[in-house]
Amino acid sequence: MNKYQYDHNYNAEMLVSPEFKIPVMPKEFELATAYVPYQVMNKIYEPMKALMKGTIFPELYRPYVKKKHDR
Amino acid sequence: MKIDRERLEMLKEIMAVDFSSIELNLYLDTHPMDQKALAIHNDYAIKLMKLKEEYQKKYAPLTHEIISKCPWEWIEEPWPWEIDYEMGGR
Amino acid sequence: MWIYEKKLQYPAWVEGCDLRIAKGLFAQYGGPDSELSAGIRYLSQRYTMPVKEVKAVLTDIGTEEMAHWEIIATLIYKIIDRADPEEMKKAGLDAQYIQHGHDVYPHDAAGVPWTAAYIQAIEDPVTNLTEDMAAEQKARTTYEHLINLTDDRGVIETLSFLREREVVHFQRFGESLRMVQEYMDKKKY
Repeated sequence: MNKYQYDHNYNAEMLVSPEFKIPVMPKEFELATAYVPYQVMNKIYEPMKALMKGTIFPELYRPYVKKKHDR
Repeated sequence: MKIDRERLEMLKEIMAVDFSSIELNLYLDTHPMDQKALAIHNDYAIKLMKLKEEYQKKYAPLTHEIISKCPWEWIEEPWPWEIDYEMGGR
Repeated sequence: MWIYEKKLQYPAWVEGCDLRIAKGLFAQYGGPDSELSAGIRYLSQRYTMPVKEVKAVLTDIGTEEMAHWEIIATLIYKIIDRADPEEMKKAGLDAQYIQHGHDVYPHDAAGVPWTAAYIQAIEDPVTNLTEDMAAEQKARTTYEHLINLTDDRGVIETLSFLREREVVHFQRFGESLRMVQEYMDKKKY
């Protein structure tokens, strides 16, 4: 499965708001705290393709493969 | 209930562009300063306005905010859950 | 306020008449991890959310979930509308037919009516968002279970769309949590 690679010149800090300094993943973090990496938009699907996939973002597309009696 | 082929194609195009717009809407909620996303969203907004205006003029209202003929057009069938979206042939 | 737009978010369709999966689909219509639970949960949590970006996320995703609730109802309706009582009985939908006819009533796959006990809104923004992230995972898993139980192409495609939405929503709630954590951190000083 592909790990998402970010272009590190284009980081989330610039995209959120002046009040929040939010990197894609924090360098300093705390225990007992959940962190989801901040997405940075890159390319998007064309509208009809996006509708059929369920998202415009290729990096968020996680198709499900139906299980075939393999318990 | 089947609808006219051209009407169905336009409705699907509206669904697709509206969906892209909503996706960007959600992204912008958490990335309000992303100017690239904002620009794409605004492009889609313009396209969507044009498509919806054309659809409503030609076929049927999408919201109650319409200038209606008599009888009141909003009530007309088919309602969204009744439409045969003809997806099986792809 | 809410305005109704007279279109579905996705062109929901069914290939045939899989009545058994129609029974299962109620899980996402009125069950614990249903679109209804999601919509009501997020829309209820938005009032006390201190971060404006997250007020928007909760409102927008809550609204989208209600549109998904409509899609599930559409799938159920398209499957059961033409079924006669005998066919419904054979598919295990006799309780549904007796108590609700062909109406799409908000109960779960076993007939248990929806309740607000399925959701929580507890004011603490970290807690609320963590609940929301869990809700998105539960919904995603429920969709996978439903997809496993049918071969109807229309149902599978429509449910796959709805399932992918849960993945995206999880990402947005995750980002919301990051903002809320920053906000709570700043409040300390």
